[in-house]
Amino acid sequence: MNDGQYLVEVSNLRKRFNVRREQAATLKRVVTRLFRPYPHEALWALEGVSLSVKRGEIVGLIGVNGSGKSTLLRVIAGIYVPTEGDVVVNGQVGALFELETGFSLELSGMDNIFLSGSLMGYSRTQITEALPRVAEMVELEEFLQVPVKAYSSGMKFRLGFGIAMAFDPEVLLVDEVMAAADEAFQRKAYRRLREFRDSGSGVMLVSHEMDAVRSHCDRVIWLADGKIRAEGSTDEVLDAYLSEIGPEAGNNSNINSGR
Amino acid sequence: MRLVVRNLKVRYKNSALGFFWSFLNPLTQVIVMTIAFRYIMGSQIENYSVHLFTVLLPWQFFAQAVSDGSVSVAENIPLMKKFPFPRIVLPMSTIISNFVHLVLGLTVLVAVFVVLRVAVLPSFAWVPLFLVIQLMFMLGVLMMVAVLRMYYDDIRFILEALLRLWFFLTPLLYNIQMVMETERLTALHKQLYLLLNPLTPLMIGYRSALLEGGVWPLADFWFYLGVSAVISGLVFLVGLVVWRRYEWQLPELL
Ligand SMILES: Nc1ncnc2c1ncn2[C@@H]1O[C@H](COP(=O)(O)OP(=O)(O)O)[C@@H](O)[C@H]1O
Ligand SMILES: [Mg+2]
Repeated sequence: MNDGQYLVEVSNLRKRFNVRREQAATLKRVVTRLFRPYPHEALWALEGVSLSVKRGEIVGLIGVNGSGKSTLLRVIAGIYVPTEGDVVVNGQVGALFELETGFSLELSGMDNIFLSGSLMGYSRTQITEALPRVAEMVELEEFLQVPVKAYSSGMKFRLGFGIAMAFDPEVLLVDEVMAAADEAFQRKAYRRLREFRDSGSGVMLVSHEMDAVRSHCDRVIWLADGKIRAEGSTDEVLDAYLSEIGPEAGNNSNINSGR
Repeated sequence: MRLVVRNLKVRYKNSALGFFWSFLNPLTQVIVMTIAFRYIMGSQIENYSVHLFTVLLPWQFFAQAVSDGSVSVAENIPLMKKFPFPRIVLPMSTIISNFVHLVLGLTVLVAVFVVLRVAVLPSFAWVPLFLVIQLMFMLGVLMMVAVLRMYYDDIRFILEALLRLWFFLTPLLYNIQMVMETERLTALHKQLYLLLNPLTPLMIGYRSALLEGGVWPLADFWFYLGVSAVISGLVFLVGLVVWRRYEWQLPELL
């Protein structure tokens, strides 16, 4: 396989977004500003992040809302370009981002598998080959012909999970979605993640479910305001994180960062 | 290319008659305009509906693809936020699906010729050349418009108004002979009319290749077509530069 043991290497990554103040630029504003630089505010979502993911580990990524976790995963997935710094990924990436995005709601689950597969760059035959594996994993046989708009969020999770795992990725990025599934499927999904890790792949898992992070992650990175606040063994980092955000905010919470 | 086909499928999933509707649209336009111009205003052109239909098909291809294309890029931000696929797929798929409509329309047109026992002319062979120039121009415009659309929401209204104006500035409802013969325009105006709008020589070309056996109504037709090709090429290059610069920022824009 690959000679390096690092699947993902991120060094000194900085990512800036240009945020418009207004909701929408209207013609009047455009005209009045035609000759001035367009006013946008720089928002640094990531300010110098360095990390790596090795083969055979599940890395937990925690942090309050707005700390930059999703941005980090998107840069690693090649969806956003780094403003500064480098990202090297050695291997196929599978990603599981927010469930509401990326499915075509009008299309059936089956068509979405084909659409996603081709957008990931796989050929029709490769997708057809992967189909039984996806179907087996998602346990949605009767629903694959139904438009995705009729799916519950748990079903969307199953479909997304199946698609992300379908093409044997070597790096799997999972962003805050595990909570959508029911108990049984969650257990199955985490078991798949561990098998996946044991076969030499790597996982980055963003989650607000501290129990799940504690029991499944080999190591944890804590992101705060676009920087790495702490990183190391799961228990140490989680304890530090929990004591900082307050004990009452323990499990499965939606902490508001106040941004 | 597979991605393009896939996108087509997304668009037509829910309308089994999708292609039919796209054909009906120019057809109704032709009927309305024939009534208006032929019978009410008494236009002198023979076979007015056939003339109109011949150029409305490529015009519709242009107008529809340009207005669809910018929307399609904006609408597919969720997909772009999920997969790092080549962004050019989005404008390309709009152009291709509209191109399919055009080809179907032209096929029907030729079929009608055959049924009416109008000769199928060797000058039809010019049509692909015009199409290549038109495609280059369209892709250039579309890449610029799609990026602009992400920054200025108003662009779609501007675009709509512009397309409406453009429609009348292109020889569709009237033919080029009428422009050249009128005395209300100076020679300079006529030159500008022919030089500045890359669609003008193309529409002249379609009409004469398909209906008049390639007897070009202008002595300098090939010169004007060349100008149109050069402008189209430049528009394409500028579009490409703009697109390359911004394509990966598209999903970041809110
Ligand atoms: N496309 C975007 N445009 C502008 N700002 C953004 C965009 N995406 C994220 N941000 C900002 O970047 C910061 C980090 O966001 P995000 O990575 O989504 O955080 P998390 O996933 O940890 O909740 C937030 O302040 C957010 O507002
Ligand atoms: Mg997030």
